[in-house]
Amino acid sequence: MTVRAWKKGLQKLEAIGERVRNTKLTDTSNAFNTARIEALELDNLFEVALATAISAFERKESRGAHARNDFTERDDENWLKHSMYFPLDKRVGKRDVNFAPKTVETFQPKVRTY
Amino acid sequence: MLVSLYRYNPETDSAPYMQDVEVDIPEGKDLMVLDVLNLIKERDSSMAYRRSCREGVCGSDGMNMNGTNGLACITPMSQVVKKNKLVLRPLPGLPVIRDLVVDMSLFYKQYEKVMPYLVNDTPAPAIERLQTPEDREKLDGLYECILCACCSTACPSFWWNPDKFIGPSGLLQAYRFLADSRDTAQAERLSNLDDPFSVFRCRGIMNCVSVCPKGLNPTKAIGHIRNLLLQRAT
Ligand code: SF4
Ligand code: SF4
Ligand code: FES
Repeated sequence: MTVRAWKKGLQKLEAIGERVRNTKLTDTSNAFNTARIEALELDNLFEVALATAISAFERKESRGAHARNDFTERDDENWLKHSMYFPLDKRVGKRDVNFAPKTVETFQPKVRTY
Repeated sequence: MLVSLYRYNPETDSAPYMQDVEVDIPEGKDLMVLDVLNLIKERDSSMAYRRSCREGVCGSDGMNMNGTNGLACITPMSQVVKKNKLVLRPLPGLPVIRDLVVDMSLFYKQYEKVMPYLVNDTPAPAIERLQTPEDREKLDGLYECILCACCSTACPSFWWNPDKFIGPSGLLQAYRFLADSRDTAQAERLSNLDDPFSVFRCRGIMNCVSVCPKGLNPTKAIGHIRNLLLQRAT
């Protein structure tokens, strides 16, 4: 991921978001209404897509499948953390990994080079 | 291509009816029946049907396609379409909730009756209850059932007595546990099946075998159960 590619992706997402907000449910039946289920799924899928994109941008490192061209290294110093996404203001926060203990003798966090 | 759909919405229709729709099938592609339904739903979101995995694993989209039960997601159009026409109906014999969605309660009730779980009250070993490879092999062709109901709803005996005849799907599962070397409830299982209806309503019509999308053979399993019941009686 590069910042330019990310910005382009976010623009596309926002355009889709506009369409998602305009979805209309024509089937309002109470009998096994699969159109309603799909409309709810669409809302949820979009929220998750947005959360994924914004959180990925804020996480300034590479880690596993999260690979960035501008931050190619894994950064345990700053990013051995959970990302927290707040949809109301589209903000990303960090939160400590709440395992106790956070590290164990035999498996120290380290770069995976295999 | 002409697709004829069984439509029924209990809130607005006094009776079910058939709706004919014209669908453009992309050239040179052999779509699955489920793909065609999805194309239809893109245009008319009120068309109701169940589906989930779209690869023949979940058992959600059992339906009647040009007269034959099967899973829409793994049935290619080339296999069912006749004279450029496809007729889609809900699984026969069960109450329709809406369009292609049937009420499976009776089917599940029959399944429940056969105690579809391992019964063994002896203390469990530390790791697991072992089985020889030969004993494990006896479960092949039984455990793979995905409860799609294609077989039971193709069975005339089940149409007549859906409340009393367990039906091919339930009986296949009954035998799956009767044949399990780790199960200790064989006597109880057989007693529960020992009446004129539960098993003996099967007339060996074999409709179940010809429609099972997983290639299973309920008739054979039913034969084994019959033998066990007869052995017990003598
Ligand atoms: S073989 Fe038995 S269970 Fe199968 S369809 Fe025929 S009557 Fe039904
Ligand atoms: S035996 Fe076959 S047709 Fe019957 S419920 Fe199981 S998978 Fe479906
Ligand atoms: S959608 Fe799961 S079996 Fe067809």
